[in-house]
Amino acid sequence: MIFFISFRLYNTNVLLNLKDPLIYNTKKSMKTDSSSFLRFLKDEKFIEWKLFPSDEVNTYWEDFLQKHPDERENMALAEAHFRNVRLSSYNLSREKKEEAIKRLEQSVHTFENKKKAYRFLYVAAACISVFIISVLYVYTVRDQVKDNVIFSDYIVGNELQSEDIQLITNNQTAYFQENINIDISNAGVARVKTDNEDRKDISMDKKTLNTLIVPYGKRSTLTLSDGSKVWLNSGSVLEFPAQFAGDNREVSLASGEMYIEVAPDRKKSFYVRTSDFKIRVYGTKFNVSTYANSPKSIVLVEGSVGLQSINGDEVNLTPNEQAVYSQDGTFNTQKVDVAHFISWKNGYLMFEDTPMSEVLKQVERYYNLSFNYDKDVTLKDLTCNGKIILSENLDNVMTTITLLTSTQYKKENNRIYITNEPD
Amino acid sequence: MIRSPYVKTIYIKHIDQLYAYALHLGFDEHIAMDAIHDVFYKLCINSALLEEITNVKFYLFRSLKNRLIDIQRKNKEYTEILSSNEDVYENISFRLNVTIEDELIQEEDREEILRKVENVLSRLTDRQREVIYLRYIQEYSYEEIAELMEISVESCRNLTSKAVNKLKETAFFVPQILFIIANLIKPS
Repeated sequence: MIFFISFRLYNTNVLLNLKDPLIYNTKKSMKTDSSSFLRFLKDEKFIEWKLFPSDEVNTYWEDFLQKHPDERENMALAEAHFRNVRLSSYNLSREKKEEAIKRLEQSVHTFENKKKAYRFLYVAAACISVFIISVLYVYTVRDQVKDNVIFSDYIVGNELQSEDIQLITNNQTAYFQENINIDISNAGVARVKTDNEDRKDISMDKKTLNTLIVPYGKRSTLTLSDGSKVWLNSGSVLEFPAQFAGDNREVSLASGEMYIEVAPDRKKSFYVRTSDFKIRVYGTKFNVSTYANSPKSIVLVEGSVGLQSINGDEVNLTPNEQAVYSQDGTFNTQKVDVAHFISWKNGYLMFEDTPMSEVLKQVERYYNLSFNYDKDVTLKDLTCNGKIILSENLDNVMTTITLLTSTQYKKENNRIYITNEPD
Repeated sequence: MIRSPYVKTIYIKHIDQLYAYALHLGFDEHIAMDAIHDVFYKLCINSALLEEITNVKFYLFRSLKNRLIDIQRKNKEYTEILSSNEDVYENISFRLNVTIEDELIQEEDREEILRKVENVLSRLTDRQREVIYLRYIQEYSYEEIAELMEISVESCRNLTSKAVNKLKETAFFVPQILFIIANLIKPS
């Protein structure tokens, strides 16, 4: 029995329209016609057509059929058989599948146990808390220095005049040109150390608040009298007492970014105040960022914190969550990869699909540079994925940035020019 | 026990295909199973995720692919300066494994056909093979394929388009050059 089947040439799913009986019905005539449909199956052009239809092959076969209408049936047969060509036949055995499921169950089980362990920690006495706060930094001098020369499709960076770190106590200011580490003893004496081991002891006023100003391009660490450790990023101002006398412990981050490990003390809760909100520490690790030209946020690494904004909106964070503070006084929370937010403390920055403009912002603060560009410049939207090690050498950093964003840079006098890579 | 029986059902339903996809992308059995484990682990510990997903199979494929690219990046020991996903993806091959299950065709003929099919496939680029796989075997829509492979939808439809042939400048196979030249010479 031979029957005629019509099909649409351009639709490769035609195979699905052919019914299987076609193959079995022509089994009898197969011996005599065995070569005819096989010819098609062995024709690379036919195979290409079935796998990879393009205008060229479609046209070719259309013409072919017009010239050889008697071949229609063989071609149809070949197409039916082509269905049996499988391009993917990897399968897992039943045992492997069960093994894999067991492994997954095991991992989830471990995770659940870990979660229980954390819950226990929350309930237990306050333990070491670690968090970072970044707050609005108002630095008026900075604005004045900004260069007004702007090129289209160029980003121009300037090194700004470097400023000193200032430690102010009782109206007396101590200036430091290098990054410092301050250790405040129980008695309220600040021991200041620089990178090259110079030491200076400063007696802190016990009645009023002291201020530490860390300008752009610098960083500092500070150990408070209760043992809490603070890392201050570039462009930060922190107000703190020499000793924690009252019922609570409190510091104020007037601006910038800070990372703090709070020493445990059941009797005295630790508060961090910023201009927009207050953070109460329960025994956790978190990061807060509030630079003027970036969204203000708090990222919780471990434990639990309570956030209270000026208008009374309260939010509790769970680990790996970020709360972004918006102008209307509310917090929006979402899950994040915390590594991205605290890597600065360890000397590198991490980016994932981050626009160049944001990358440069962070580099500006760290190295005290100023990047200028026209708002229409396409370069600023290039995205960056990867890691930048905050090395001493600015050239290394620029090389990394340009590699990650496919741009190029050159340094002339004290200016850095970033341009697109030539095509 | 995995809390959600739903996750287990999804696992059993899709694991063969996910496994196959990983192998086609050139990864070995162990890495494939590790990556699949990681993808489902994420689903298990974050129950909210499941509720947000509309197309489960597509989500799994995309997560798996991302996870595999990450693993590739770590294993290849790129320098401290991490490369973009695109760079890593460029170096990931795509192999199909051809088999013919047809009792009605004799073995010699089957072998010959198999060889010819492999010939044709070998002339394609990795990305072209991947599009074929996603379209004809997994039956994804062009939009889904475009998203999975990060190319435009038109490039998917037109398998011979430049964008599918390469993500960045790479050498052409000679037949493809001829094909393209032939197209250029044709009167428009």
